[in-house]
Amino acid sequence: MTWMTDVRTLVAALAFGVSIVGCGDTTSPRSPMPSASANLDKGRSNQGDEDDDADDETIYDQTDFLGNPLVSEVTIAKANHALYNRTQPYNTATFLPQTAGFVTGVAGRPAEYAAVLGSVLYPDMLVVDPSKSPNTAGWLSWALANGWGGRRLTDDVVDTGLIAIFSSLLNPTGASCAPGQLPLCTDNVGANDVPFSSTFPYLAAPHS
Amino acid sequence: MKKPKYRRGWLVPALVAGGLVAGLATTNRLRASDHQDTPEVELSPRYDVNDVYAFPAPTPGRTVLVLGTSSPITPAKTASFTFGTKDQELYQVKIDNNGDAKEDLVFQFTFTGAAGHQRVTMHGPARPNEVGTANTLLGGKKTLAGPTNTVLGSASGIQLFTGPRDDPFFIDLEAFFRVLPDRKPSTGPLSQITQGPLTFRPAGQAVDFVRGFNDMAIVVELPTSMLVADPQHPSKFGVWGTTSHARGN
Repeated sequence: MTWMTDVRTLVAALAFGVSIVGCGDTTSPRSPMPSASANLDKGRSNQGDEDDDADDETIYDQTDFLGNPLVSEVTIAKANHALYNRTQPYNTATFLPQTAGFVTGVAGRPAEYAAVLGSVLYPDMLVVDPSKSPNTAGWLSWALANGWGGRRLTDDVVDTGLIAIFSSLLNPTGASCAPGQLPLCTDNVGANDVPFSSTFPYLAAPHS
Repeated sequence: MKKPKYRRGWLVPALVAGGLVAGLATTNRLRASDHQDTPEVELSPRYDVNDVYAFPAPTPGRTVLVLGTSSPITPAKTASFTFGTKDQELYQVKIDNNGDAKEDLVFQFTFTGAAGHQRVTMHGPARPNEVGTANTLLGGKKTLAGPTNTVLGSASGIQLFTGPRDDPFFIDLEAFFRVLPDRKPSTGPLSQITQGPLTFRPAGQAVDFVRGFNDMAIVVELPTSMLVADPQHPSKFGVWGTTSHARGN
């Protein structure tokens, strides 16, 4: 898996004290709820279509939000979950410290690693670098392997998350994620139950 | 077979907490923490965003965006496959392309009609009326519209598919609940799981719990140039998905 290469890249970056991420939003928290009444009538032109009838005034309040898989709620206390679901990726200032505290305090990772992990995961969105080769696409590869990033259907994000938190690979000593020693580094489910399609819409047909 | 609800976003924290419980046995705070989802999403699983994907299309210069939602996360043969309709729900994919983690472009997807006969309307990518968590419909000219469960648009422009698909996620959820049984659901087969060793099952014995599951997918493919701030000099962009509930409904 390319992830292992990515991890080693990360470890190398840590060992050399290299800051590999630079687009974190470090500004103070902003209100996640801008005035909902400000722009209600802006830019509308009802096409007379039945689908568009009688909805111009409707305000939709965010119920759920997901950027990075597994991560957004990983280190956020239950009490803050509802708040998290009603934020946006610019929640960095509010939630990154909780993530960093979780990685160090609960998972026992070095503070330096927590800082790197936090800066990769926040702002919480899937980052794509389209200037890179599509062949380098994969979750977090934009940060860890100078890649295209994004998230592929085939990415084993469960193992990635487990490794990130539990593996001693993330320790500068570079030890391996040995079965038995670190049994939580993989769930041993490495692929989807059915193959993905090579053509649009790529997700496999529904089970019937 | 009735499948229990679960919330994949909590799996890793729960595992971390479980590891800590095992290692320190003094983690009352974490053990007491409850990793169930928010009551609103739990009660209204159509609003649960399962997964968001962004990956290169096979055709160079094109990108695929996927918003996977539950309806709820149910096994095959459910009769209730449906998206939330626009009188209640708005689905969005949001794009930041100038590095401030605020949406510069949004895709809005709304649905009408009953299960099995739903139609989708897509607006965007376009600059949103509002940045943030209280949103209104873009209105104006539709990007695409048509029946669900159908490929809309063109392979050289914007393509859209909405409808049930195989749930692309994979995980040994049963093993997970053996590691941390206090995260198991209160009903269904998984509720019977009891504490096991703090390890996953070995390769060959592990089971993808989500095998055979479907979800409600929104899949868009389009030229990557439509997502970046400057098509001549494409630079990083961020992707996230949201669901929203119509205020007052």
